[in-house]
Amino acid sequence: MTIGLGIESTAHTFGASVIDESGKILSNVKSVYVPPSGSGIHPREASRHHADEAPSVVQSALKEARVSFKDLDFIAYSAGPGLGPCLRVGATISRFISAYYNKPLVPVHHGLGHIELGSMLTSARDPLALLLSGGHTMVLSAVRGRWRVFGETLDMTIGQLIDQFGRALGLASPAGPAVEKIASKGNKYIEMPYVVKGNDLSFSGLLTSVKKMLASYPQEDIAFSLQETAFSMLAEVTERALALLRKAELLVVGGVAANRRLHEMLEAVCRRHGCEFKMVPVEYAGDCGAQIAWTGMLYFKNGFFVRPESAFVKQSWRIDEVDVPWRG
Amino acid sequence: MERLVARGAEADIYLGKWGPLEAIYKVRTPKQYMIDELDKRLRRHRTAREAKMLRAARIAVNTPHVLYVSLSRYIIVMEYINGKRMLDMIDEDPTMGRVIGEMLGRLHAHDIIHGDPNTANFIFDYRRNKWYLVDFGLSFISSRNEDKAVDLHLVKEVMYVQHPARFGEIMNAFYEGYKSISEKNEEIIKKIDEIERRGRYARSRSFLF
Repeated sequence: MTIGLGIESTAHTFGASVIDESGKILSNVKSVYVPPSGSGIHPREASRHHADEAPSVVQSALKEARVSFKDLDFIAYSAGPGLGPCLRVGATISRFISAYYNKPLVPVHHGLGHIELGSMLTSARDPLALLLSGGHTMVLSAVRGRWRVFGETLDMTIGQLIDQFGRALGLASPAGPAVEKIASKGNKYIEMPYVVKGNDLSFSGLLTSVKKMLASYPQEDIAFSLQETAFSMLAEVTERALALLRKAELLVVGGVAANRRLHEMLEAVCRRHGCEFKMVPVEYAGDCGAQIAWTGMLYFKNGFFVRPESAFVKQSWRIDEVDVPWRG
Repeated sequence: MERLVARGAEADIYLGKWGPLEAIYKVRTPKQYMIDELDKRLRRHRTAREAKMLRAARIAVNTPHVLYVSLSRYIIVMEYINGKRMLDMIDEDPTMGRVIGEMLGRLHAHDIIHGDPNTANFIFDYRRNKWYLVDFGLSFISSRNEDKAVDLHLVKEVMYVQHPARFGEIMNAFYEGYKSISEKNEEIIKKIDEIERRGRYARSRSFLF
């Protein structure tokens, strides 16, 4: 049985996971960098955290899976997109293990990792994928060996919107769970900019307006209205894609997928269009090694890997430029 | 009696009668997932906008005649266009991309942005031998090249997913059609790049380390 190690280090999470070819996750260990309250992630500080934590995280992942480096068939790492210093930590360690133990090295696109892990865990076949995280806000459909973008944000992502709003409230990033909690205490809807352009959306106007509102409205009502507005926009573009592409499944992945209100809305969208709702289990919604390990497995099985000396990282890397041969 | 013929993301489409005429009833039904205030605001706004823009756009392209509008019930009744959607034809004939280009070009020349230019919204009426454009719910007036270029970006996005096998041919025909309407349109096409570069991770930056 083929087994592989996946290493994730695009942003605040350093994760390592061992997986086998049946999709059984033998271990999934992570350590998350938490910035001081009210501030965002500092790339250098986060990369220091990763460098400090990496050896113990990787060792725990192997120990939990009861394997050693020698048992591995490949090492997969998140090659981007993400913060340069953070990416380099994961890539350097992976390259070292790969070179030292003479194992194939598999670079993996982080966003693709979210989708493919979610797809495997929910047994989705050919879903419409909604990728919602700090780095991505996209509606995608796999056609002829690529995940093609049907709609996306024209400026910031849903994760950035929520984190930056959270920061204005003095919360640490990622602020999703805290903002969700505050929003659950609000109930008065305040009118906010709602910007859907065809299949695309835009959040920057919404952020500007909620920041201004903080002076004159209770933060619970602002958080409530912000979630309602932004999630309705997401639900609407999802619905447009479902209506047009007539997919039988909707797969929701990425850190923001854990939000319960969003969940509720997307489930309602699916009911309306007779579509199966598939949500990545919450413990695998955020960044983790398993997303890289599993996607690495798919590549390895298709004969895609690189020599350690040609390892690369890409801070900026679009998912629709990545070949996914198993979705040919 | 009206018969449900399509359920879009935005509205239910019924085929029925308006007096002696065959007519389309476009009904913006409540979205259960949205809170009431937001849902009503959007439905009202879009019904009003669509009715207005269907009329305004007639200066540039063929659109169905608006027969009746109710903002309180979120209904537009319009002339029924008996034809075939481009969605079901363009894979056989990618040169139809030119029609999209020409129709958007004419709309843009009058500062009308369609906002949802997918191939299901272009309908060919065989009896009248004319192309019709429908679904103006996201349409608006703007003279900014930026807004026009977003319309073109949407075409690109939609073609890439809806018609991947003929994407290149469709887009070539599309640009040709669009350029044929005005010399200024070349400039707007160039602006698509600018919009796409603003998108997430558009500038690919890669290095060995």
